[in-house]
Amino acid sequence: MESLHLTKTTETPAVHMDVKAGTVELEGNSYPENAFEFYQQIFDWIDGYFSTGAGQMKAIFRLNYFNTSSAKCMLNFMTLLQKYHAAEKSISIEWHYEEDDDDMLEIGKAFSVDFTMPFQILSYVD
Amino acid sequence: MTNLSLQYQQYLPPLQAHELLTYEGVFTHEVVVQFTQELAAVMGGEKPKKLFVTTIELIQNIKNYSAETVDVTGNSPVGVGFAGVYSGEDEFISVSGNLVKTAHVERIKAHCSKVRGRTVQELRALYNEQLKEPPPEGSKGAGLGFIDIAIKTGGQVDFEFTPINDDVTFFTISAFINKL
Repeated sequence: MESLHLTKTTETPAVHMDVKAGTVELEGNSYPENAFEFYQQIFDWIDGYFSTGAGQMKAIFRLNYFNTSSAKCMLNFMTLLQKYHAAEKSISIEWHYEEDDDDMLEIGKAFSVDFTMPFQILSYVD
Repeated sequence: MTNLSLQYQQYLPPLQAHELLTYEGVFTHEVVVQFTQELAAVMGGEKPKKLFVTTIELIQNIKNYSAETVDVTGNSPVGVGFAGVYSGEDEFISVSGNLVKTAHVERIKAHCSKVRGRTVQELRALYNEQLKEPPPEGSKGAGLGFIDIAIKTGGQVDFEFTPINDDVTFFTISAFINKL
């Protein structure tokens, strides 16, 4: 199992999947041509990571803005992590939003209510 | 189908605003990305997220749902349409225009009426509900676009339908985003 890094583009976030640290971090914008395809490679990596017997993961979302197809993928992302939480893995989420970005805050709040895994919502100043 | 591209402008609603950026033609993914980069350049560092994300949603709608398509690469047809971003006194206006099948107009109108006259709080609840539903048939995205645009504009969104002929109707969405 290797760490995987995807370089940031105008329409896709930088993604850092680190085996040693047990972290997945997304940073940037998200409106790929095919969001479902883009996120599938991350989900596959996460499944691979846990199949090696790993016990924990921290997922860090620091997104600037995303389109509605990506929002659907974020929900699928949370659903996948919740599955591992339910399987006794130690999962935690950090959802970062820019201080005055009510849209990113509200969608984070909605996820934090819908899922029972540890979920932190944190503001940052750009 | 008759090529109506060159006549699109006549169907657009009149706006009391300065033109910042317009594009008319084929919306490949590369054009979608380029359009947002041009918009960033035109805005000169000002990056109101609600304007960017609304514009992306509008132009991806054209790409995915326009009834007029061109198959540039021979792999998959992409939508043709018009996109424009304008600066008014108190708001930015993002406009999309494209042909839709006249037979689909009633269904699109039903989608539009779902988001009319609701508060942002109600729209967010609707968004969260819809997010968990499987995408509607014929949707390439998540079926959330109109709701998202209504949220980002605080309900300031106009939908217009101009019948062209029995087959096609010109569909315009004008989204108004308050300047801070």
